[in-house]
Amino acid sequence: MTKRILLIDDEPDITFTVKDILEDNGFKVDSFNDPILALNYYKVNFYDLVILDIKMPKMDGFELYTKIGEKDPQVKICFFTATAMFTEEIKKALLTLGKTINEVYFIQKPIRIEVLIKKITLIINKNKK
Amino acid sequence: MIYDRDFFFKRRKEIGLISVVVIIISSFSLFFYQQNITEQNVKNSIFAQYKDRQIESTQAISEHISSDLKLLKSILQGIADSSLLQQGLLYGDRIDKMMQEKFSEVNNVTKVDTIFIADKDDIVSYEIVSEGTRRFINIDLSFREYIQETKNTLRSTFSDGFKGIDTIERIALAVPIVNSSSGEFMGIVGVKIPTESFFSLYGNIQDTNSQFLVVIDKKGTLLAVGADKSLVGKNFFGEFVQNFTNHNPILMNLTQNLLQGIPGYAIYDYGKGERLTTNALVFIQGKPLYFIQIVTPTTTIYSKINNVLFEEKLTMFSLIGGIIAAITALIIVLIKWNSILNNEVKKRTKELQESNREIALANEELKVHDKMQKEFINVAAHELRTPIMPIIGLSELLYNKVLNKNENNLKQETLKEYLQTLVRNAYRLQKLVEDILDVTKIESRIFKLNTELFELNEVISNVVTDFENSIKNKNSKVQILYEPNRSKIFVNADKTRLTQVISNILDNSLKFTQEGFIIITTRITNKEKDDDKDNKVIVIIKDSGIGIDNEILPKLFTKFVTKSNQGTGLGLFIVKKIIEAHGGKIWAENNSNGIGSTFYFTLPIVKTSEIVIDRG
Repeated sequence: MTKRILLIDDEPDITFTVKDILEDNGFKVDSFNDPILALNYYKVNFYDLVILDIKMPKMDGFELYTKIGEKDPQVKICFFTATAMFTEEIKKALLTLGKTINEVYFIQKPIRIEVLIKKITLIINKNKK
Repeated sequence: MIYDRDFFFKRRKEIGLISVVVIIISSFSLFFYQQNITEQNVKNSIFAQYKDRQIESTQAISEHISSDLKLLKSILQGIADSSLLQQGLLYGDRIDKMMQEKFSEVNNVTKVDTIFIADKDDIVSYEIVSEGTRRFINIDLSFREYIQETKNTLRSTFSDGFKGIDTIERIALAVPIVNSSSGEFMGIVGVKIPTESFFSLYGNIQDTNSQFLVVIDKKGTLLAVGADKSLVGKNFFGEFVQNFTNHNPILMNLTQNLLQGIPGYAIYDYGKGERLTTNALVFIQGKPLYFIQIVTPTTTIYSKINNVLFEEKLTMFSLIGGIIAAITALIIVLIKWNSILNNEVKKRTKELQESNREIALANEELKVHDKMQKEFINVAAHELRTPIMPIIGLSELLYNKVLNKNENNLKQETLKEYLQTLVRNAYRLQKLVEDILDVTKIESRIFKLNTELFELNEVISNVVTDFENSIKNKNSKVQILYEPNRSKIFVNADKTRLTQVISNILDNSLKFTQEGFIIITTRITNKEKDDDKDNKVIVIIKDSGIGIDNEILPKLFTKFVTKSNQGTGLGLFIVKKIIEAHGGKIWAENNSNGIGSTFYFTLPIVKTSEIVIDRG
């Protein structure tokens, strides 16, 4: 069964690129450049994975993570960021939300297609949280 | 502890002053206490010394009197032994001649008012008297005790006091004329001495208020009295004198002892002030003949003592005063010194605090700088990585598609979009790299301008032309308007950098202006309007866009401040630094009509006259 992915990043060139890559690899992808819009049109129990950028105007990735988690507690969410991976600041930001997240759920930009697909497949196939 | 120290520290002047006062008061108290203790001792001691000296001087006076009387006696003895008298000649010219000589000789020794010769029947045969004295030629002297005694003992005799008809108290000395070969008594040669004028040679017998002399004979008759003239010739133990002395028992006892041959002293007061009296005896031929008393009113002694003490006090007082002055001066110097040191310490402490504060400030700046540097690296890393994603992703995707010969899957339109995105992100990356390099240069202060003289209108026109071309390609609805200044504007600037400045600003305006216009104008400042000393050009870039977000406006020219989806957030920061490096200013504001914003920057201009000279 085709896996459904929601991609949210404020950079249109990123969503354009990653959407095409993922679709080329057999995923079905919805993408948004505006986090607010993404939240408004969010479809509960629809996606197998949500991929979030962290640094976005209007609403950052952490806030969006919380909001989507509230709407759809079962969905898997991972971060896709150009920021250095898993810095102390990110850990702290997550801790203030009361969350600890496995490093697996962090994917750093830029990333080669092969590696990206492997990581996403791994996350989707992981046991439910 | 600190409180106490502060207390003493703040009150040091008062404490110093109190110390001085305490030192002065205690010094004087001690001085007066000691003075009172010793003063009485000193008084007693000086009085004792004075008394001892008076005893000695009384003794000396008595010896002086004694020796004078002896000399007198030996002169008379010489007359008695003279050949004329030995021959029985008791008067006549030759006697007169000799006696005149002897009279003056005697009067050289002491005051004698009569010299006489009496025959063996005591009849005065010859006599010389001093002026104003009665003569007694042919008078029988046998009634006089001393005449009888001389005759009987054949020894020279000093009489007690007696009064003549003239009421003058006298004593007499009689020397027997004894034939040297037969031992036969031939007569007497004698002198009469007025006691008052005689004894006045040895002491004061006039003034009762200072030290005076009293002379008494064996019977107690007063021969000379300094206390009162009326007492002369009166017996000491008689009613008259005793009434005068108020029967003073001490004086009575002293005088009785004296007449019994016991010298001594006494202090008494019979109603005319306290007196110190010292006794001495006048001895002739081993027998006490006359008795003298030296009387001193003790007030005169004490006044002398007080003078001595006063001088002593004055000396001590000056000494203590001097010491106090020295100590006071020392304390003042110490306080002054302390105050100077204190000020110095305060100054140094302040300097130290100041330098500590500066160090802390510098440290803080370093920390801030460090934090900013880290932040810059983080943001730069993020910004750099972002455009790489489409470049890597799309090129790999294309490659895979080409490799898999899945060309049917790759529409012409998609390919075009892929390539556009690739080029756009490659340019974006290039721009980013250039900007980051510029920022790094600016921040490490190795940013340098390559200045040259050029005309500003030309440069602006070139940039505008480039932009107009790029707009045409994009089918933009924005119009760029530039009306070059009527006069030529020469600037001494970095042409490339200035082009970068204008491009960046135009870029920025274009980014936020969807339709309408961007107008570029220039204006030369003047003294009257702009209150500007040096002539400058103001370049004004006004757009009809969405304006600057009020949140962004105050930090518009700082790093990574952007509201755009494209752009690094470094452009305006670099623009500001370039303008400032040229000695200009840059600022921006939203237009008053609420549509769009305006950027201004200034540059110093070069006057045309200067250019002419420069070109020679």
